[in-house]
Amino acid sequence: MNSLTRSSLRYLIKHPWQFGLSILGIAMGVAIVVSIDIANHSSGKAFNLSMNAVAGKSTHQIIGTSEGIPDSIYFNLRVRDGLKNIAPVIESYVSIPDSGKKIFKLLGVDLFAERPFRDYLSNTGTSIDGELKDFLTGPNSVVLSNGSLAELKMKVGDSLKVFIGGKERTLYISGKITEDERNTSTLENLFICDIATAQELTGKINRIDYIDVIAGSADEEKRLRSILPDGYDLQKSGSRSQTAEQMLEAFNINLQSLSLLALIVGLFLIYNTMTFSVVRRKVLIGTLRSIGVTSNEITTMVIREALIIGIIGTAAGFLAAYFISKYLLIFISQTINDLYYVVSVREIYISPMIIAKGIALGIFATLLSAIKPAREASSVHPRSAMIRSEQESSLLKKVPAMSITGLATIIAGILILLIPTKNIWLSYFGILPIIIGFALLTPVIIILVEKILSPLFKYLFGITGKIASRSIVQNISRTYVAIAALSLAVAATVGVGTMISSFRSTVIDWLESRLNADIFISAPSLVSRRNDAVLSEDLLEKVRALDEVADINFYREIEINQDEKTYHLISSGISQRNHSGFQFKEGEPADAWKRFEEGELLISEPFAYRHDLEVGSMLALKTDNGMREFRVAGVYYDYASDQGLVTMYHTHFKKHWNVKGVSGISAYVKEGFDLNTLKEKIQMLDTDGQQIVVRSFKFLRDTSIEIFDRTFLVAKVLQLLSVIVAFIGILSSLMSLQLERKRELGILRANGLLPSQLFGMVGIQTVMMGLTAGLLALPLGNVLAAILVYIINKRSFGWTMQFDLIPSIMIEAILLSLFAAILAGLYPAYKMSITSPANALREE
Amino acid sequence: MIELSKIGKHYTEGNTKQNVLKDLDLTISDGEIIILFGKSGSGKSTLLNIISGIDLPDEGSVTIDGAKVTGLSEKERTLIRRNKIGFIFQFFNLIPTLTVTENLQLPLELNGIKDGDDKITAILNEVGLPDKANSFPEKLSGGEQQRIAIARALIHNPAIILADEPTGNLDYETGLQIVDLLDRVVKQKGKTMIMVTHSKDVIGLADKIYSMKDGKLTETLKEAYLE
Repeated sequence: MNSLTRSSLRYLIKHPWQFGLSILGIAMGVAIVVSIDIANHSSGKAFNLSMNAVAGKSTHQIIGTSEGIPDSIYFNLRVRDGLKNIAPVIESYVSIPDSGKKIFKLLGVDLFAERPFRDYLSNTGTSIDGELKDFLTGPNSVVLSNGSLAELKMKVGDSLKVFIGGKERTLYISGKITEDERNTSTLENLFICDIATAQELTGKINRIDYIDVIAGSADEEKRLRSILPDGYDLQKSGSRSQTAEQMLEAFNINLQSLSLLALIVGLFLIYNTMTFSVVRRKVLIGTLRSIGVTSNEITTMVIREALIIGIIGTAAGFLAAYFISKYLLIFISQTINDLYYVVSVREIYISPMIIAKGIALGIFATLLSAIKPAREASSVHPRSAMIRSEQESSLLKKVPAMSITGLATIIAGILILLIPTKNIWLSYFGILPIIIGFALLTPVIIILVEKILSPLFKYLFGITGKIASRSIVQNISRTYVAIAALSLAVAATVGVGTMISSFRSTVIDWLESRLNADIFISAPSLVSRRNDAVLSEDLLEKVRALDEVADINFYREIEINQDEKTYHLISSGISQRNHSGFQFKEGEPADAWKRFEEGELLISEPFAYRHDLEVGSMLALKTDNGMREFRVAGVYYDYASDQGLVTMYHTHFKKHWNVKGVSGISAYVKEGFDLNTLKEKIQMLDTDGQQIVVRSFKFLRDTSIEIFDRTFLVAKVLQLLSVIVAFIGILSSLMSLQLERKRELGILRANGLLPSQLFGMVGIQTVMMGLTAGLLALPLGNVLAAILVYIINKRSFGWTMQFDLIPSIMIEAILLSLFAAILAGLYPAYKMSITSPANALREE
Repeated sequence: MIELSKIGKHYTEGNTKQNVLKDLDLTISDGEIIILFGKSGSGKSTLLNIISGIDLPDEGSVTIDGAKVTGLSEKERTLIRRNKIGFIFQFFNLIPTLTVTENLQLPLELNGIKDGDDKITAILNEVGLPDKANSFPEKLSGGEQQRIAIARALIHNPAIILADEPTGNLDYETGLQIVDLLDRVVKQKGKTMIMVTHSKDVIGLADKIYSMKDGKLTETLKEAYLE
């Protein structure tokens, strides 16, 4: 190790506060980014594993109409057309009462067709050691893996009560599968039963969900396509995973972007530390330059120091990420279950890509933030060695230029944001110049705030007040970075908080106008956003016939898989009185409703955005009778699904899709009748074993808001973590600042300033820094909120939202900023107040 | 040999232009010891900076051993400083994060000299601090720090020593010890030295004495100071 490196390392070790806090800052930034990546990846991987468990070695799947495939089609393909490498499948979800929110997948298969597909099933002699006869003929027989049995604390021969499609069933465990290392994760969460049992359990009599296929060659695939009846498709096995990935794309990008914010705050922290270490060592660097160290060697020295911080910080970040991701995974998988699809995530998965990205970000962020300090170091003049102590580098002179650059950078950011694109990354990229622009404006704002507050502080606290406020400007090259970092973190809380509040009030307004019925009936659902279980049409008629019911709405939601995409189609039996609940973005309401009843479509705003549709556009949908084109009559505001919804009048829907049952019913109570009586009467109706949930408007609204709040919980956690990183930044900065002013403070003490007065003086300084950061955070925070509302959300999900300025959030921001600054200032203030003036004067 | 020809240097403060050096000529032969006197702000340190290539003159040229320093790039000037010049500062300027030995290793490393342990031991003996090899600068007295700084300036055997008030931050007695040391390790070894100082105790070392006033050098007879 050469002497320069040794000197660098010792400098870092001799300043453990700065060194440690920088490492902590970068570690937290990396931890947050990596943990979000791990959580996203793990949930995706869990979904893929469950898909793979089901897909086995199949290369393709034959998918049918909305109601699946009649098993006669399967028999024809197997017997008449001689296809051997095909196997029928039924899939459903199983929830177990008293097992928390754990959800298992039910897989119905034909054991005799299985051999080429799922090897853990085909080798029945060794893997399934239950009775084969029971499996095939026993009522509701299922087999589970050893692991699943252990988890459920059950054994072969036991029975258990479960819910499938909202109906209670009793399953009999007829066997178990001993996992090997290849399929342990594949088999967890899986209940396997014979196809006939699955048909009974799910109510899909004489139907299957899809047919697995192994098509070894393109010719085979071609032949298969040629013999498939109309309305049936052959799609690649990975399609469903891809669709799921697409569904989550915007959700994941938004989480990743929020996590990057913490890294940006961490970046400010490194910048601050490195700048400070350079400023503090100007004499030393000047000496090195005088004795022949080149400016390039000085640059290398500073970059190397940053690299050490980056490497240690990144490594620590990975360690922390592993633990943080376990908690984030709970929130993220909950949101996926609430909004998108059923997934049960039990393990953390880390991919090489995540590791590479985390390392690259941690190291890159550190190096990026060290570039300017390194340049500053390399430009230190050897003359500096002749000066006893280097004065504040004259940043003050650069303030006008910085302010102009700041404004120009903000304008550049705005221009990037105005580029018409659906690319979310580019939109987030536009935020970066705005943040940098605001950071560049920070010095001028500090000077203005000091000008305003300095007389007040002098009036309130005397000369110490004046010294405190003036020293912020005098040391502006150090103070501004800390203030900028804190204001950025607080602005992020204002931005995200205002966006969430604005979104929340938009959703509440929407819920209140849309859910204008008195009572809502549905089957219990595993995915909160949509009902995967159906109610019988009999029940619909029974509700309609009740004396208390004035009118009803009903709907049936189906998924259409076409062009490797999933469309959510709503068959709507909407009453006239619910028309007012629909706010149209495009289309004249009276005309749209008239056309709707004539068979045209109403589409939700996100659907129109995703598929570039408008009133008058034609949309082709795969019906049970083949592809049909429908005209769009109106685009309505809807916040139920970011994937978008297509709504069709139920009588027309029936013409194209042979789908029975309804997903939900809502009813209006007749005037003079009691709502509770109606509720009781509905609950007394014979539902043929189908569980139903009867809810009031208030309950439904509250549940929806609860899901909404849960969805944004991760965002709030990320916000909080960013504030913690900023807190570390301001603590580091204040420590450095006070240490550097040790001599000045020693002189004040030597001249009679009491320790308590010194404590107060440092305290005033931190209050002012916190206040400045808080004030700065308000415009930046609201600008960020407006960008999130008008640009990011629009481009991510296609939603138009109202934007509200929220005074309580702004007051909280200032208080948060003050609190963080005061807390960070306590220790340096205490430390300085107890330092002996003699020591302070001696140790410059 | 160091040759300064028609050197001019000015600083601008607001609208006022202040000439620090004006039309200055100076030739220093190898092994000569020059002492510069002058009031604060008279331009003495600026002249040292220009000789070492730390600063460039606005007019004129500096030549060291035939190489025109004023025509070189910043990096080339740094390398000249690294090879040919040793610096002694008023405030010692040792690297606080390196021990005495490591401070002495630094110029050797910069000049690509390996296995410098013997040199370090020898020079520590020469400056009378063999027992301080593993001490950090903060543990040394001012006089000891300056001895180490002199050792650092000499360890890579440069031809020229530039000293900026080497006794300015020391008490009288310690200052005399440093002068004595400079006499032994610089003068008697035939090195060229240019020293800026306010102290008349160093006059005994000088071959030539100049006083600086209004940006110009005037040679003064040694005897004039000794009287």
